[in-house]
Amino acid sequence: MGKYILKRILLMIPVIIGVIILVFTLMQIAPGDPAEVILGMTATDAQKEAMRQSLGLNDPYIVQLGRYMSDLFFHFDFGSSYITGVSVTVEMMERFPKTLIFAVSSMVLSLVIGIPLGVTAAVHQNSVADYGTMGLALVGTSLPGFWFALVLILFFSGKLGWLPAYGIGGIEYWIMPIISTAFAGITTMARQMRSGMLEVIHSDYITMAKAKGVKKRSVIYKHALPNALIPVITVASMSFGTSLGGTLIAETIFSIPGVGVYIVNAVNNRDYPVVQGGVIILAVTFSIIMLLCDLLIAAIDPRVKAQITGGRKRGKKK
Amino acid sequence: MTDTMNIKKIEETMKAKKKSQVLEVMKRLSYNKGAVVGGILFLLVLLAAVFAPLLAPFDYAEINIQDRCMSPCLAHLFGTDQMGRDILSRALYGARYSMIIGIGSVVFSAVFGIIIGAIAGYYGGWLDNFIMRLCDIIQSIPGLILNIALACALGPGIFNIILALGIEGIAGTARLMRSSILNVRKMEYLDAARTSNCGNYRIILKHVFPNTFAPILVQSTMGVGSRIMLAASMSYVGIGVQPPTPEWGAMLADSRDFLMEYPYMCLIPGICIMVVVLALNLLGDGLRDALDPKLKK
Repeated sequence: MGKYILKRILLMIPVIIGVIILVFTLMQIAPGDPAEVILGMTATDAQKEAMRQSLGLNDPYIVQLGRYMSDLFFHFDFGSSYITGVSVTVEMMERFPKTLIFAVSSMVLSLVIGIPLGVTAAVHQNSVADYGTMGLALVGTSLPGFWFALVLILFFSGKLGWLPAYGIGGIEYWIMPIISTAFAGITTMARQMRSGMLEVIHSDYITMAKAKGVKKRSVIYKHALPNALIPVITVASMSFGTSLGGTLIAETIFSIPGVGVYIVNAVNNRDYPVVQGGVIILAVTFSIIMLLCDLLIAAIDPRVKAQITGGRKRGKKK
Repeated sequence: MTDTMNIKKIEETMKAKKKSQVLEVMKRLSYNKGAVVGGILFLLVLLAAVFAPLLAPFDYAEINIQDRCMSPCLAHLFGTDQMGRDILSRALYGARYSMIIGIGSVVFSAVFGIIIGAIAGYYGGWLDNFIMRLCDIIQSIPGLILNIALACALGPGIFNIILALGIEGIAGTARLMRSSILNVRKMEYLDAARTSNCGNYRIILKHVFPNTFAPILVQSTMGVGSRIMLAASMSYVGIGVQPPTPEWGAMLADSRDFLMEYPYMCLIPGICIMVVVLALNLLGDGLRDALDPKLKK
């Protein structure tokens, strides 16, 4: 198992390097002259040229890439913002925890609500509860998250005045942002859980358990649920990526000073080092969550575990 | 003489069979109420998009300060916005932009995804490995965030948004195509085709592709909806289509300051997005069931 974990971590490194190269290249081909962004429209050509020289923008692409990578790996330095001159790393340290808490809590909320909904729908297949959940799921996947956030603001801040419309502070500030980002996740989880559960419920070992006279509750929670949960873990890790994207939009709507707002503003201001750093950090976070989910599956699913630790398929990636 | 007649007969039966397969799927689709509703809704929106200039009661860009912020009434069914522009007309033209973005980007990723996925799946080896590692890298960046980075690199504008959304989707389609090809590759009818001296291109086009088409079609149908939603969220934060273009997300961005006073301005574009995405999801779900041979009785 230890060997498998190490292998998976090592396999992540080339992917992360690939992401850095990809994002760096994208920012290289982006239109606009960084020197003009820094100095403003009024700067003379000579001033711009001097600025380009001092930033090393005249060097060949590969030299710039090498410099960026070595700064990043050896000094954890993402460069500085063109607009404010503040180091991207410093700014990220301030903002990243908020975004991470935000994204993780919306994922947790979608699991906590989506799983019971899906299980109920599957256990009472073709009942009112089932149709209700599936109807909700259909609407939920079609609902634009940012628009749902606006509707929540309109209703809970505007009409009822219960919750603050934007800003950060106590827990009441987080309720609407988290619900609006989690809503799509809830419906995805409920759908996945329902179909997984239905598949398991019709398998032979469940019939066997029922035939043995095991209580219905126990059949569902001890025999069926653990098996149906495994695919949900994979879906949850994928939907964490959607959550990260959702937080980016929600942060803009609710004025939460996280990585998302930072990236969005930077794109609008052509502040490329910030976009570059922000995208890399979010991509690495996503990769780590995916890795943790894979490891979790390997740890709890005996079938995958057997593939890793014994047999001919030793070390095979799931 | 008899030989040519036989061949003709075989060709005829093959044609009939092909036709009946499409009919069969359509028939199964028509039994699915959700899919029918979705299909009709989608067609209506598509027609609205095509005939927007004929249907729109006003010019979508006409500013009329005297009539600004009018709630929905008989003259302006959806009301007017802060500059007195008719929201119904803008929503109709918005359907145009959203459809072009959604369908355009899906077609883009389908064409390139299918080609790249087919190459990876059919030839295998180092090329397959290389393409798949590239897909790993692209897919390890969450979708919306990669789209924002791509939009940043390409600059604003509708064509660039289509390109950004299209490029982002290539990896997913390529992966799907590759896995379907790997499933098909073991089939005996490919051995049969090879022994009857079919070339690689003919095998891919005539034998492999038709059998891998179903999952791509389902994914693309639903993809149009999710792209429309992504494009709208990008426009909303100012990275996609820019106001005053009447794209639904841009309309929302334009009217967000009036959310509390004139909620209908924000509600209408959102409902438009939701209806289209819902229709496509229903249609996609129905298509998946109709195309799944496991459910065939």
